[in-house]
Amino acid sequence: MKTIKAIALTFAFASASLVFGCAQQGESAETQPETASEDLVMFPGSVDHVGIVESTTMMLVSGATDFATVLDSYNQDDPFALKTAHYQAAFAKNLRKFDVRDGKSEWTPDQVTAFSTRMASGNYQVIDTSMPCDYATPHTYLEIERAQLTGKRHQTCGGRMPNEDAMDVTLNFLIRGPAANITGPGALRDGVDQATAKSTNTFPYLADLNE
Amino acid sequence: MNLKALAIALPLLGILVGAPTESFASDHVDGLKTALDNAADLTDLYTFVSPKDPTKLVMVLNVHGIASSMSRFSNAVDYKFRIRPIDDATKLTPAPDARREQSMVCSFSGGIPFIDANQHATCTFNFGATKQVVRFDTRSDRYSAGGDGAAGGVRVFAGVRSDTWFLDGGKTVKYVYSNEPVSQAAGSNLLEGQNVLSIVVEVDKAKLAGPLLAITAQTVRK
Repeated sequence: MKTIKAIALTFAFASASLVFGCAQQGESAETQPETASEDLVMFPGSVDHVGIVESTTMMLVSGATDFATVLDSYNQDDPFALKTAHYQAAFAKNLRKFDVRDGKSEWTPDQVTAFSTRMASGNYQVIDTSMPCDYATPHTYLEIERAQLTGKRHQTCGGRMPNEDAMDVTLNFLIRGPAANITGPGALRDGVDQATAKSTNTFPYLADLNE
Repeated sequence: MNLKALAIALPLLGILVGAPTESFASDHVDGLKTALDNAADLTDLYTFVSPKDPTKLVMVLNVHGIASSMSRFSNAVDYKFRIRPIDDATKLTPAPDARREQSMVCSFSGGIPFIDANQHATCTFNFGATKQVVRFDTRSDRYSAGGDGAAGGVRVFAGVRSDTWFLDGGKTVKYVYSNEPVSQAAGSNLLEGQNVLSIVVEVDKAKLAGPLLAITAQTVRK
């Protein structure tokens, strides 16, 4: 019971912090700069890491309590040396769940093991800077991983470009398997194909802020 | 009152209180700690070869999924890009030896709460044998709310940009939590109109440890 109360209080504090932060930010947008968040809360050490899209909220967690018990631990790990044994079973379980989402099973057991091991050991993007990145029509995200899983040689730079629909790539990869493309018959989509403003092809690439 | 910021915060509030696993925004707010610490909450990473200059690698990290024009980076956080070579293309495993790691670490100083949003950025690229430091202010006339600097083949931008992430939140939840068909019709972007704090780095590919690389971004509170 004490644990539940502690989690409830933590959620409440997090919520209050968000609302307070937003209200403060709202005022500051019109009159003055916001207070940096370090003035509100402080935690020493690693806070977060990012590599693979939705590595946490879609691929790792399997229940509401994981938000409090798993994600902070994962985020605080070294992204090049995750505690593999802590996470591999969860990544594998969720991958198997996604695999049958469309009523078919496209992931082989070896592929599930390979990708869940990779996700549980590190959170990073793979890029081959010697291969082409087509910035105008970006279809490179996870291409290197998909090629490896299906025994092929990759054809693009991999990595991730800002205008690529990474959610559609993720949905098709998880549900339809590593051989599936995001176009063609049976392809899945969420119906949102670009951000508020597209990124440009000149430094600093990302579109100007929304006023 | 910044209603857009509040509009994104309230769903996140609901996520925190009612359905913590339904954040589904790339890497936005993916834990209690990052929910509290938005200036260190990484939202996205991008890595690609420059479309203008194929000799350059570009890396982008975004934080602070509810940023406004006056948002600042945290002076108490190191913002890191970490790069390790991949020796075996068949396994795609980063080099385990940390001594082979290259990095770019940006830290910030100055900027007075409620008075001055401009910060001083110090970004240090550790190539292994050599280092390159780039210093600049995060506000300049060149951008609406950003600044940049360059030195020794490294160019860096830091400031507020439009959020690059996009998804239909409702459809994504259906894909994850139901077995029902999901409409393929046009959706609604959960992140429409939102901003982030971005750090953009452009670096000569020749300075990197190889063509096949593993790259991650990390925030570390000092």
